Amino acid sequence: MIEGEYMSVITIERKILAKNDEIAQQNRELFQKNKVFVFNLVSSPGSGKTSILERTLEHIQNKINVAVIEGDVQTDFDAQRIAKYNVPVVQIVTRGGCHLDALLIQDALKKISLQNIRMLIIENVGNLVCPANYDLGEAMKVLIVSTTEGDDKPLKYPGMFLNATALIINKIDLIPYVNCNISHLKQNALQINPRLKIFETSCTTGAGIYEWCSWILSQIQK
Amino acid sequence: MHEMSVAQNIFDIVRKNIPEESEEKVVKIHLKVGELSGVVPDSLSFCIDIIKDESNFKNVFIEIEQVPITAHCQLCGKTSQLEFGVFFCPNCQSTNIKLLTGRELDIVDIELND
Repeated sequence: MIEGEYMSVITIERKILAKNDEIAQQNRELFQKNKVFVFNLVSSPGSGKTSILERTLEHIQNKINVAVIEGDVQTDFDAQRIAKYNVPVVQIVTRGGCHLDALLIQDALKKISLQNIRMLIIENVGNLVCPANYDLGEAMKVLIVSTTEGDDKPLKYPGMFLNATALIINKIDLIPYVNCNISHLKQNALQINPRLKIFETSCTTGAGIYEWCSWILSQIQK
Repeated sequence: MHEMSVAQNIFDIVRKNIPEESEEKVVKIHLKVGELSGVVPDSLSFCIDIIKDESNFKNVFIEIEQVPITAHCQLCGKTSQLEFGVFFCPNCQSTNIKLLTGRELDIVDIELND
């Protein structure tokens, strides 16, 4: 240090994403006040988030009132698909942003009447890295991995697997054609997060959809 | 991938913690980035440099302390450092482990040249 100069240190000890966490907590309180169960659907692009959402709506929309928030980098194609089910849907277009954050959700919530809703499904931007860091105020993250992505995804993207409550292994109808050992996939996922609840589904054949829907409905009461 | 928004958050926090118009006096920002944080230190440094050049934080140096993944084994009781992608106890191979460190994405302190 140069003589005559003084340094001062300001201790901060703060999470860099604390602002997001604060807004997420406000969202969570709003959901609790309105008794809305919220889950955040995450996966790589093309794993079948919107298809799982469509199959899920077919099974549960006559049982409870559902709303959907769609997150995409561009276009409202997904919201158009979901609108066919006559459920309230809000599309967030991030215009390049690789994840949804709590503030985007807070803004989107202004367009949904939560009083009449029992379940809110947030479909995140397709990305296995960034959405893991951003709490949106949801009760849980549900992670989808498809068989076409191979069985080593859990070891490559451990952050997301650590944060998820449930794992849907989708496109199981394609197992004969792809290089994916489903028991290795499960083993890898459980190695990272032994508490993961795992489902195997195909949106084409409908396999596993009933089991997944029964479980997610059972989570509402908790 | 989201390092730019993380970098913006860092400068927002620093601004709130220093006296007004003292941005040029900030010489160091000390960060902790865990191996499991989803943030790549080199990309974060790159994004910080871009923001820095367009702000009054001209004199700042970023110190990134990388935090390894450590876990406590619930079975054998040993605390060990884990390699990325290996989530079992290196001592007894149990997967019944509790993560202690590795998810940090923190701003620890800042230094000002008064």
